[in-house]
This record gives sequence, structure tokens and C-alpha cells, in this order.
Amino acid sequence: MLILGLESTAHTFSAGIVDDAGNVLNLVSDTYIPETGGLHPLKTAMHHQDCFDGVISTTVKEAKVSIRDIDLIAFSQGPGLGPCLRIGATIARTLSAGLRIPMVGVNHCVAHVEIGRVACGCDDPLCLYVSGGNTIISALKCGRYQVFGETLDIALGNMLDTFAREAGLAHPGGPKIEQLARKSDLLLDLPYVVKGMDLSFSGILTSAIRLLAKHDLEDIANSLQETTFAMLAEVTERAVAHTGKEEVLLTGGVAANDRLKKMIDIVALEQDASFHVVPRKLAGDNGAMIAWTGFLQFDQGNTTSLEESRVMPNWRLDQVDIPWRQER
Amino acid sequence: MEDMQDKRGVTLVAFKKGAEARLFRGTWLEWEALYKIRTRKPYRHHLLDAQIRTSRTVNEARILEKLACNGIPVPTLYEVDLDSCTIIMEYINGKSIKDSLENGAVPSARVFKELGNQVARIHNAGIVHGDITTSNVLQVKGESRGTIPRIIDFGLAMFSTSLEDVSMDIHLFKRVLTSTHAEYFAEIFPRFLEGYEEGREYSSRGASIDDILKRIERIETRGRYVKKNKRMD
Repeated sequence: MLILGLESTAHTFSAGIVDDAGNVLNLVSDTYIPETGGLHPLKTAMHHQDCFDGVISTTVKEAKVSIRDIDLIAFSQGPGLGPCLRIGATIARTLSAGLRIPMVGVNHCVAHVEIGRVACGCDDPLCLYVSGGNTIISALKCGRYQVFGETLDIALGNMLDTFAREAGLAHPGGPKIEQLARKSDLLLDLPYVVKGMDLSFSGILTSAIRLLAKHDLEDIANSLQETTFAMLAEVTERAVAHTGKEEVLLTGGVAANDRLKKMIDIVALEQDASFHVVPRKLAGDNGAMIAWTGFLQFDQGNTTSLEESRVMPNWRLDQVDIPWRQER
Repeated sequence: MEDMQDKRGVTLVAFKKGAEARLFRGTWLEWEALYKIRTRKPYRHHLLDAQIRTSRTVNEARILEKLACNGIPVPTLYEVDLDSCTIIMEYINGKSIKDSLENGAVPSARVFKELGNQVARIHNAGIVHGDITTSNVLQVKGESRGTIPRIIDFGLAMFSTSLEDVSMDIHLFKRVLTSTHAEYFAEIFPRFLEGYEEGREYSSRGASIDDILKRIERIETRGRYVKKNKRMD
């Protein structure tokens, strides 16, 4: 069977088609890049509204299938920006009704984990999900992806982007900070905030912005990466030691950062675990992960009725049952 | 992890490789001892690494000393070596609560009550543990009465009396119970709180148990998106 997945939680509107074996037939994304400032929810939603028909028809056409061949519509029901989520949900309801096929609402965070598992061929990983909106360390326990550690305030990607904006770099700032950091080996003093297994980045952001007046941008960029990535690495290491998982999976937009990859790779090695990074195309927000997770839910007999299809901007990863996985 | 010798020629038997440090068993004078060595973390910037390892070693030693002076049964501190970031302390022989729970052997209610009591006394001393997990509580035979819990690994402990830090300590224990031992939570946590309430002395600077419970609730809603999402729960 073929599944069409729609992703619209934040800056990216994306459609992906996968089959029931987890093969990605096609994936097309359109990412909103604001001219100034950060993501305004309404403007981002308007971007999705303008591009969705093009994205979906290109996805179907390039996959060399007809929209009539689709058997299931999956959409990201949360967590994310309300106005953006509603665009995806509305399209899903329309397609589901028009094509007379079932639809299924998917948790965006679960989708990141599941596409990572199928794309990297790993079975039972400790998952480190780091993006512009989320920073979560999770693993399967008691039938759910339990959150072992997470950010208490802003996400790591959000922190990097916000700092970059303050420093006059254009959105998205993460990759630019990575380039700048390569030119420095200096370490400036920034707060190192690990609370048990949880992390906090807002104080570091404030301190880093303050450093802008006195130091080179390269040195601040390097210190920012070294400090925050070390925090993540430390919590990941503790979570692996605590859960005894033998695989570490890195995903989310920040997984594209080579320095972070290298650090988590060493952590995995130290803990005798294998290390997997989700391929770049599938690590960021994308429709294929929604389609694949939608299939896993459908395969368990779960579909979403019209009444249940309301978006859930605050839907947590650990509120979702994962019946398709057996605990080891 | 391999065995090694310390600077005095004592044979150190590899015991456990934790996330934070490597543990070895050896002797110190005539006592059986635990050597906790904070080895270099190759993933960290070398300056950050040195800073973190040294400050945590000093901090942990200070805390163990202070708690021992307050009569809390923490591992006894024997010696500190800052060059190698090593703490030598009493070796405690016991099974962790995590191991027991995973084998379906739930320790008695009294053990959790006593644990709560010890945590309260740690807080009374102006210290928070920072990582009260079920793997950091060992069960040993008491001198007169059955099993008693002994809290280990003060590697993340700090001096603090703030409501936030004290509540965070209890929140972390609660969180470990709900994430790792969800099926025993209802049995364990109330006993723990009972012991805590009994052992806590509220000075003028301290907060009451109600303040703490209220703060824990707030901490729980602070994680991403936990705002009372009634539709989902």
C-alpha cells in the first residue's frame, strides 16, 4: 500500500510517499525562510497555504503514481505551531474525504524516531532528537517513548538561531554558527546548565549575546557549540548508561552539525553502543516520516476520525502509545 | 575497562564504567575501598573537560565530608587526589533498588520511607543530591533492623537550600520512577514522601512540604508542552 504523509508543524511544509516496507518513493519539501526575525506562526501558515498544492502534486507526479493510488493519508497532528498544524490537518481531511481513504494523525516527535529507526536499520535506540523546536532524549520503556531528559526552556536549535539573529546572521543560523566555530579553538566562559538529565539553554543564550560586545564572533560560536554540545553529550551518556540501550540515534535538524555528530559518536563508542545519524534529508522535518509512522499506526488498526482530527499543538512524545514495538 | 595500579602500587580492580567516572575496587590502608576516577572525556574541549572534572571532584569530596559530619550514612571519604581527579571512599556492598525492581523484588515500604528520611536530612544539611535515581540507592544489611538504603554517587550534588533545587531533587526521583519503574510508582512514591516529611526540619530559610509539592507540579509543567493537556490524558 502507499501512504501520503503531510508535515506542517513549523517552518516546513512537506509531502512524502512511502510504501508499507518503509521505502521512500518521493519526498518534496518547501521551507519558509523569513526575511527578518524568527518564525511568525501566521506568516508561516500562509506560506504553507500558498505552497501546499504545488508540493503535493509534484510529490505525486515525481513518484510516478496517481493520487488515486494513495491508500492512506497521514498528517502531523502535533506538537507544533497551531496555525501551521491546521493547514496540514485541513488538507488531510479534504483528501481523506475526497479520495474516500482513511486518515491518521501522527505525533511529529514519534515520527522522527520511527523514520530514524527504519532509515538507519536500528532496533531499540536511545534517541537524541535535537531541532529548532525540540531537544529530547528518549527511549522505549513501558510501551511508550519515555522522555529521559529534555530542555526546560528553549530548544537547542532555537537557541542557536536566536543567537545568530542577534549577531546579525540570517535565518537559519545554525549552519552559519557551525562554519564560524570551525575557525576557532578558543573557549569562552559560558554557563554549563545540566539539571539531572534535563537541560537549560536560555541562560547560555543571554550570556552569549552579552559576549558579542567584547569578543570575536568565531570564538563565541565555538564556545557556544562546545558548551551546549558537551551538555547534550553528557546527558546522552548518562541516559545510555542508565537505560543500557545498545544503539544511539541522532536526529532532528541539528543532527546535520558535524561537531555534534562527532561528539555523540564518541559518547556511543565509550558506552559500547553503536551510533546512527538519520540521513540529512530525513533528519529534518519531512512528510516521509509522517507517512511511515502513519502506516505503523494504521497497521495496528488505528485511524483518526474527523471528530478526532483536531490539531494538538502541545502533544507530548510520551503521551503516545507505541503498540507496534515489543519491549526487549 | 582494564585493571590498573594506583600511585602507591595498590591493585585496582575494574568495577564499573559509569557515565561520569570509572570505578575501581581496591584497598586503602586496611579497608576495602572504592576508587572513583573522573577520566578525561575525549568528546569535550580540553579546557572545559579539565574544569568540569576538577570542580566536580572537589565538590563531591566537600559534600561527602559535610554530610558525614551531619550523621547521614553516606560513603565515608578516605582521600582525594586532584591530579588524577580521584576520590577514594568506603566501598558499599549492596544491591541497587533498580536491580531489585527489575527482578520484580520490590523492597519493603520501610526502605523507601527511610530513603525519604535520608533525603530530607541531606536537604536539612543544605545540600541537594542532584541525581537521586534508583540505581544510586543501594540496600545493605543494617546493624539491628533489616535492610537499610544507602545513597551513593554525590557527583552532581551541590550546596543549596533553594526551593527550586530541593524540589528538583524530589522531582528527579519521581521522574525516574515514572519513566523506568512506572508499574511500582504508586507503591513507592507515597512512602518516600512520608519519610521525607518526617525527616525534614524546616528552618526559617527552608520551605514546607506543601511549597515543595507545589513547586514540583510547576517543574512538571515546565517541560515542553506539559500544560494540562486534558484531552490527551
